[in-house]
Amino acid sequence: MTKQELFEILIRENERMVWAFLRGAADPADAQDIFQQACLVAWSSLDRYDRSRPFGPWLRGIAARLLLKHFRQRRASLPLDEKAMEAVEARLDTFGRLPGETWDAKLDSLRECLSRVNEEGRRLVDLYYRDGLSCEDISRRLGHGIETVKKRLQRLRLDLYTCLSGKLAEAPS
Amino acid sequence: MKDADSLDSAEQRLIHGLLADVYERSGEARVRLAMRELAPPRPAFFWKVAAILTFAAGGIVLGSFFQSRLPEADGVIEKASREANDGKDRQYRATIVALKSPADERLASGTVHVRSQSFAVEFESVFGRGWLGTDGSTAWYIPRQGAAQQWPNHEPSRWIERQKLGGYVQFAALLRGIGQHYDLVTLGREDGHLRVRATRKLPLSGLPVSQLEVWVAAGTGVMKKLQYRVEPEIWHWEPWLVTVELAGETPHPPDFYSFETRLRERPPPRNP
Repeated sequence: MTKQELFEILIRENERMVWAFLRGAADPADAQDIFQQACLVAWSSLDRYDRSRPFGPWLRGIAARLLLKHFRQRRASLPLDEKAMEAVEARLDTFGRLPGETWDAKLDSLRECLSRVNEEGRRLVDLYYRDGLSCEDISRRLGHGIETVKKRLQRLRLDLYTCLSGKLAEAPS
Repeated sequence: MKDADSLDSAEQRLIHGLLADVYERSGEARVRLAMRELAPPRPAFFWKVAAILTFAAGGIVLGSFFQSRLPEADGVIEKASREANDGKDRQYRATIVALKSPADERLASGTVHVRSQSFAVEFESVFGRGWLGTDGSTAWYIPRQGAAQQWPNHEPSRWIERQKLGGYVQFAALLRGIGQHYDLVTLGREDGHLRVRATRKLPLSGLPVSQLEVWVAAGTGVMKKLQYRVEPEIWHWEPWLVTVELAGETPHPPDFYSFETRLRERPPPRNP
């Protein structure tokens, strides 16, 4: 097996976790650019990777630095500061300890929490995340104000986090 | 306070990212794209040889080289999805043909008018004639003769009853979500169009459409043609072939897609 094939396996094992991290802060197009850059940087600095440590957090660390650089270069306001980014990373690490061989299996915990959301909440999640509608589109479709839609989405995410944190607390440290 | 804000934001971001991961398409294309960037550069002599061959072969080699460098199907579809959501009115000619022996049978034809999330299908079929559509919030069905109906857009069961095109008419939504359920590959270029094939992912054998092909204008990203096969179901024994082709981009009045407008424009019933 070549070095590049091994690298690809490591990328495949961790790409969804890194993607979830990037999408938490950036839109799909920016997340895609940064993901690609992170892979390139990781590949070119593979000699500096400490093999005694897990690969995923190392790759995510590279992505985090690129994310900050990306927003600074654009002079755009940072969607989250460094401290918040570290907090997201810490929670992703805990999330990674949930039962399940693969990332997708770990996401079953979130799916289970989603199944407990009421019908209105599910509809909102479907419109926003599955159908990719903006808050403005949703507000028009449902006849609510944009702020109401934003607040409901925020509340929904918080409820999901509360549900998930119960499972996270039980996850082995 | 600052810490509390950050913590709250972190929780929101975590769930937002995880939900995006749950709902967005597979990362296969992402990984392939990243890996392609890592491919070691070809040795310089390759290019020299290629240049000589190109010159000698009168451009054939170069032509085929560019042909092989097709854009990633995900990127093509993403652009097409953006264009389909650009708020412009487009008209597509649609046909549904039952594939059967000894000869195929045309079941329906019509015009699909689309503007982002809204659409109106003017159809003539073995099921009847009339209009079917949505303005984005209200879905409606207006037969040429008989009672018109409208209902909130989010009642999927009503759609399934009425929408014989199988939920594949809202092109913007279809293209946006296609990567979730189908593996995408760019097949080639045809007359300035990129042809992308979407094949149903193995675990999703329950979906009625096993394969779709989309032709997208290479320059503008506008979807020019869509063709797919609907597998036999309990209420139709033969597979159907649905073909949708761009016929025009004529702007419509803002209320074109509303139930009231379409009902108002329904021709009066014929006298017996």
